[in-house]
Amino acid sequence: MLKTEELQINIGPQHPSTHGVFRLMATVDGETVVHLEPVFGYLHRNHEQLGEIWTYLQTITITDRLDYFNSMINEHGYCMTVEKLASIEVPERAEYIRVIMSELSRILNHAAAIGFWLQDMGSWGTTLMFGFRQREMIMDIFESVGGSRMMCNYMRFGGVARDLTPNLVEQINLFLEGFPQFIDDFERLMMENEILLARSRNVGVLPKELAAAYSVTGPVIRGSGIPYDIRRAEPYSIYDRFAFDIPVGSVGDVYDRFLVRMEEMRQSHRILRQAMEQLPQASGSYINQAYKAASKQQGLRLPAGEAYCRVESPKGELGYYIVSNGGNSAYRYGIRAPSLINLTALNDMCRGYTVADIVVILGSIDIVMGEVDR
Amino acid sequence: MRAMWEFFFGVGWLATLTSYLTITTAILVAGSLVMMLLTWIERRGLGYMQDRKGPNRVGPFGLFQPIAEAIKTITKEDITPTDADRWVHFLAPVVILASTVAAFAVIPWGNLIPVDINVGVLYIVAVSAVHTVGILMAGWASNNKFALLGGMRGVAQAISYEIPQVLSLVSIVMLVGSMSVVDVIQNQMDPYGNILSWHIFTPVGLLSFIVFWIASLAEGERPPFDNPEAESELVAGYMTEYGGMKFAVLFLANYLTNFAICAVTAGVFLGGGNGPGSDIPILGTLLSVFYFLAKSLGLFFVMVWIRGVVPRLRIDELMHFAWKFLLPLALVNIFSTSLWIAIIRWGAEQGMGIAEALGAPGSIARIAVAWVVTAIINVVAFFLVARLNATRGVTTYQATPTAV
Amino acid sequence: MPLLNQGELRALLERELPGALDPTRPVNRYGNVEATHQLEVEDQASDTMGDTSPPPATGDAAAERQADVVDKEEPSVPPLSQDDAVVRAERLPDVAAFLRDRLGYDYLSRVTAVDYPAYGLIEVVYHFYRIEGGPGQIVRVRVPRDNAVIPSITPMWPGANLEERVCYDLFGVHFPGHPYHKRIYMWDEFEGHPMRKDFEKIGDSYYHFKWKGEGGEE
Repeated sequence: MLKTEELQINIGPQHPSTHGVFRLMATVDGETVVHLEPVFGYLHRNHEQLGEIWTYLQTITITDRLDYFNSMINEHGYCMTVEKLASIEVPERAEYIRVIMSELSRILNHAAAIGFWLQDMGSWGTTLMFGFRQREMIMDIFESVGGSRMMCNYMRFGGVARDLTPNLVEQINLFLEGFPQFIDDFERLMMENEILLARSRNVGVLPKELAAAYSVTGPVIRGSGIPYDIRRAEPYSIYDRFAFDIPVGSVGDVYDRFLVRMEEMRQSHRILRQAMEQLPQASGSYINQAYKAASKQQGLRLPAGEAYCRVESPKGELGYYIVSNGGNSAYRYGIRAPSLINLTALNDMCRGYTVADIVVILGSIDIVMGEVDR
Repeated sequence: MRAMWEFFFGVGWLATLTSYLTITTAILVAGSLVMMLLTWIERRGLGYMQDRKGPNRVGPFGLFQPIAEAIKTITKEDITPTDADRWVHFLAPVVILASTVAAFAVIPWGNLIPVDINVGVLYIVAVSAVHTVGILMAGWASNNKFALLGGMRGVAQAISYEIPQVLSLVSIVMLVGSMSVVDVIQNQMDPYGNILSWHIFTPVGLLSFIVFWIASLAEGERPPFDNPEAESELVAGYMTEYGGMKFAVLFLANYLTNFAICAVTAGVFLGGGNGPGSDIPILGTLLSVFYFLAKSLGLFFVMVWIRGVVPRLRIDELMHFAWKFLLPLALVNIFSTSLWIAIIRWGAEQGMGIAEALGAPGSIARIAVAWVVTAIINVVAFFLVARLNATRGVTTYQATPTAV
Repeated sequence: MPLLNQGELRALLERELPGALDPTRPVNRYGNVEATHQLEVEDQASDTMGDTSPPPATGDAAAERQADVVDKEEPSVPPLSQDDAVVRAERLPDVAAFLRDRLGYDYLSRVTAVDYPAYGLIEVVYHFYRIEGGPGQIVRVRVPRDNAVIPSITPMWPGANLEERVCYDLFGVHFPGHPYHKRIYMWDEFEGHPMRKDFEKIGDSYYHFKWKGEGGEE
């Protein structure tokens, strides 16, 4: 017998398709992966400790930078947790605006995630650019509303920072009108592509029985067949007012996750249309008037206690855990990052497949290193 | 050309030598200029397909972009990794470029051809196969596991796809009866007018074109077969450790290979250089060069088009495709070609008495029958092989709508 | 499956798994757990990490903010409640299995560690949820700071793998039974556990600037 050796490849921190600074030490036997060991920490920015030093309002700015692809949802989760602990009531109009911004972020994320996944497969950026066209339109909206395209810093405790002007409502409606055409184009371009199917069907399968044990969430668990979506499982904000479906895959492979993401974009569009229709009838203002002053926000002191709130981020379940000691900054500020927990399953998903499949599977989990390393 | 130099030097070896040196220089210069044009086409084309503009700053429509890139690569520092095998690392780009440029010796630019040897087709294929050695040298000498993986993949891919490539050309050689490239082109000028006689418009030629085109995409490492250079997996594959001028040489070799492939395809299948008015004495030569360039660049645009749309095949799928799909098709094609030749040209003494009954060799009736027979065989074979190799069917997912 | 609040969960655990719960600790007159250790944690408004607050705006908003920052009262420690489901460290796998098999909480959302130097404890909080949905359950384990050892539940819940490594790396809680007990964010030779409250705020002492005429330290 020919004596073969296992080769250890370092898919290093600098790599075009590791979605950030992320290191994978892969042990391969020929082209088959035997063991994968991820190494984290290259983007560790001490987020949780900063939350203990800064005031609650200042921490909103860094929650943006957790999952920097879709910043509004991070802020939503954090503000929800603080409001739960401080018992701040959020008026209806503010809730609608928050939901609109969150769902726009979801579209942002999925358009880019699918594009990057296809780019990793070698499609040289065509679908990526189509997705980025949609992203640019949404980021224009974010810029009008929050002042910045990506790190918006828009939500405040008790609501949002600014109201939506009629101009902006017009802009969002225009975007929503053109959106179904984009998804249809996307689907026609890519969904039945023979090469895509050959590369992603039955690759990186996560069986249904293991999915819950691995604590994976988001499109990964929904691709494996478990319809777990926090907007349904434990509805927060006003998600119980909207009619939407939860797409669920059957096999749990990479292609299923891709399909789940495509369909989730459609469902986000559906929620957005309903939200825009119901927005004019929403009562209340864009922020809880008692907390409107900047000094009130900055000097907010939460009563002693703890709270843990979760939101459905496009990557999974994003949770915030705040322990307060009565001061104006947290005693302990913890984040449950979906990308980090989803990576637990990477080793088992990749074992037995080839080196070329590692990047495809990694792209389908859709991680962002800001969350993983915090 | 020789006559011109004879005028200066008188007859003898000096005239021959200088004439060939002139031709070589001309080819190298023309090749480099064409390569610059090709990079421009690629980047602008890809840009527009992706709903953005390509380079548009340097010069009108970005036409001077390749010059800017050339300046950049020339002025970069030339780094050899410390533990790399110095001489092999240095020679690998040389080997790759040499094999590519050598193939240009027999490619006709319209009516002009540097050297017309009587085994031109065989020569092209044989010489461009040497670049496999260069790829392995590059991958090995870089002392980098990624490069080694890329090099091994490249070699596997290259030698696998050479076989369908050559076998598909065998059909054409059988049709023409000669391996000389000029003869192949001339063959496409004869029977009817000037376009319908191109090889691509015969069933045999069409299947041969498909097999040859796809196999050549793999030889030239174009997407969807760009595994050795798979950027998103192996950074740059076997070219990872090359920077500056050496990378420019590898890049040049890549584009020259692709252009050579386009040129050969245009010549062998599309009647390169033939077109209305290409047999007029002097103007015809210019026209033929123009037609040739138009066809080759058109084929290159198709290469860019394919790159813009299709994702990449995995290495094992690539191998399956070569050995299980293209190779059987090429073999079936050879069989059909022999039937074609038998029906059209052979007579009773070669055992085709039936064919004699239809008419003299080369008559319309016989050609029509040959058309029908080979078309049926080729189409059936294509679908059979495709069916046998079909990937698993698409099962659509089910959305579980939950009640509000 | 009935939904339980913390008190009910505690009662259930007392019934079903005797000996699993942590014994109650002495309380002070507010009903909080008695602070047993001297509070060594630094003032939250102190500036040893450098001035991290943004530059003050103009106007009385700035004055108010200054007031907030300057007249900090003594840092208080969050109270540890008594009627939560606090579990002994060594019985945690049993309790976790009980929650999953008997009560149906099959999804572990988070493993968090909180450092309470005032009580000499590190409290590790486990959040369990159900896949079908609904609110979750919290299980707490309180371990002494100098001997923080909790058996790992990674063999049962592979999803706890990375979270437990984070707790080890940043807080120093050891999880025997964990298949890959290594640091995750810090490099392997790092000493200390950065998120503990008494971790010296040394700045970036691994990177020395040598200004002219000054020494090497920050």
